[in-house]
Amino acid sequence: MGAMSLPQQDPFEPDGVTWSRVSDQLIKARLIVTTIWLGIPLVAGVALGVIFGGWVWSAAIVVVLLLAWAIWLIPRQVRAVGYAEREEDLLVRKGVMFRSLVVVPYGRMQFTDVSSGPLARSFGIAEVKLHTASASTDATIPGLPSAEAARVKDRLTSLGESRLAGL
Amino acid sequence: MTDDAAPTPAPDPTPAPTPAGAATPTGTATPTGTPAVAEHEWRRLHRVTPLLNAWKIAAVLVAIFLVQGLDDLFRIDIPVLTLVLILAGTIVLAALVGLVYSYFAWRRTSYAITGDAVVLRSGILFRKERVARLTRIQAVEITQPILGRIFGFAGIKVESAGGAEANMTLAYLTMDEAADVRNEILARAAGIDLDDVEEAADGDLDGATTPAELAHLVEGSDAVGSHGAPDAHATHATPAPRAGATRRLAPEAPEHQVFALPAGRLVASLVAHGATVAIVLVVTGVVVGGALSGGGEWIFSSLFGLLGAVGFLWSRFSTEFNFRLATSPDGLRVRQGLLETKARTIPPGRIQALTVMQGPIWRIFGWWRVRLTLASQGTSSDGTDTSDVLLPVGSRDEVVAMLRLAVPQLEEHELPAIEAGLAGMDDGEGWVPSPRRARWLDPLAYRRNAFRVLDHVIALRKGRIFRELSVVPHERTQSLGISQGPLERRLRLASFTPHSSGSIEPKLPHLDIDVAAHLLVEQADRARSARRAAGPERWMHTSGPVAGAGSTPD
Repeated sequence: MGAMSLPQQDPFEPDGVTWSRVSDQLIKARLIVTTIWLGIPLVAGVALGVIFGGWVWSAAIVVVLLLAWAIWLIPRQVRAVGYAEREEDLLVRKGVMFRSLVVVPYGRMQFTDVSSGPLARSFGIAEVKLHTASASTDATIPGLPSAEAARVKDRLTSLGESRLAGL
Repeated sequence: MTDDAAPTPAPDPTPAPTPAGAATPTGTATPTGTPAVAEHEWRRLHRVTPLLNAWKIAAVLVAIFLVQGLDDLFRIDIPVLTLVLILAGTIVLAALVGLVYSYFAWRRTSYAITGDAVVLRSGILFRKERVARLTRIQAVEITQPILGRIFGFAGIKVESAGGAEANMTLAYLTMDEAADVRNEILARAAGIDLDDVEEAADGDLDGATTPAELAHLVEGSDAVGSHGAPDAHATHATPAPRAGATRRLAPEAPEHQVFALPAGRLVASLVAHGATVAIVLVVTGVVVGGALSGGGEWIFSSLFGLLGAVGFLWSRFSTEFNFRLATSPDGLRVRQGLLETKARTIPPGRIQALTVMQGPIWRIFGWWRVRLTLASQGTSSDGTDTSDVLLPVGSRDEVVAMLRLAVPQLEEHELPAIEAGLAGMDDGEGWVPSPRRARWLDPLAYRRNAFRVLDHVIALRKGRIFRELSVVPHERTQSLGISQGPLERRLRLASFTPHSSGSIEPKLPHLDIDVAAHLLVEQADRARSARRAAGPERWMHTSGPVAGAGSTPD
């Protein structure tokens, strides 16, 4: 079925691509957000456990397990995010268990967003998102150092202009 | 400015509305924003517009009143006559408010068609001016609501990419005017300079412009119709009679009907639809259940579901009734509608993707449905919906014919591959299916899920019970993606998605991982070179690629 003749290749590791990684600050930012989100139910779970005792503690235990899993997973997820600016297109990959890779030609770019929340700003990172005419294009690079984010945005914008294609 | 809705009688000798842009062969106008519109170029909508719009506003006002105030009215004890008077008064008041508002709204609305854009000015207090660039127009639609059909009025919707808000509606015009405006927009968007046409026609050509001569006016037009328009209609026809013409009238592109949907087939296809089956099942269930339990409360709980299904079938019937498809140099012209009729023109090269579908019941009859997607959204801000159907229900041969119309680059020798995409399985006709180990993830359809790369399109097929074939032209691919879940990873599989703009989101699950890797790389290359070779947005122009492409060698 054709597959046999092809050399083995990991589709998430195309030949000759050097990946840029995103900032490790993103790990901290995401960990803080997750801890806040899970901290509230954790406090509630512990309180309920103290009041009612017995099996009610299981709720708190579940939250603790979730937290532990998140702390294990988030650094891996962040390290799995990579992007590469090739000559004609931008590659963005992400995911540990559910991996994905997007190839966006510069000429297809409609606009770019650079955004950063208060927490991200305090860590000096920002997110760059590329939009094409297709709503299903998901080309988001989270956790770029602010200066790098500005550089990527400028580069993408100028490349997009010089390679502009119609719809 | 006259109050009259008749087109401004202004055959001004120096119309040339824009300095550049209008004649730029590539269609990329100067990016300096709003083209200047001379005062006399502004046109009015027809003066009946306030009347046709007023009742909508009135209906909303009355509805608000009923919802807000009716309970209170019934609570206080007043004579029936007073109640009726209050209601009548409300309706009259609402109608007046609606009329006054629509009148001023109409007074403040005007539009213009320049060499490179359609411009609409509107708004009573907050003025709004919208410029739709001709090169960016995705489709033009003439809509006639039921009232408009009775009295002979129509609206025009100019579709651009960018969501429902991006569409521009010019409503209402008389039917003839609407057709003229549509033709003018399309002719200008195609790259025919009507000002030149006029001068030429007034001058040497003496008004008797032949298609060939007209074509000559289009820059570099030695290969007009290269977009696969049937040769007989290679160009716009002779301009409309010019004697006493009030404005530069665009010639109507000759059209050629290629398909008409018989009403009987539409009805039969809806009877054989899943929604009908659901209705039958629910009704049977209610009757049997009611008979067994002896209670009627079942009926009410199932009523909403039933209404939904009936509403769905009715809207399919009323929108797709009298569906006709014609070809013209301006592209495909789709007409449809029972009460409200629509005639949508889709210029060449605007179709982003196509999907052919068939459910299990339709399979018995050999019926298929073809949907298309444009970069624009059919739904406009005023809530009117445009269906994106290319073939509501048709045979396999009709499907293939439609695909060839929509994607003229499809070659004759590629048709067997398309047919295999409709009903085929495994690796016949060059299709590349999921490997056998994908059966663990998709035991039913793993032999159906496959792709086939043709010269100008990539075709993806999937589904065994609900069959689906998607076709995306290489030059329309926006971006590409692959993804892989943990199970796919164990089995060395990956899913592939070409992202196209619009509502069709083709995704092909469970390809062999090496095949997917190569497909990703090669498809990116193909999309790139196809973009470079893509036709101009002004489809009557034949000069090279759209803009600045090709800055790097392959």
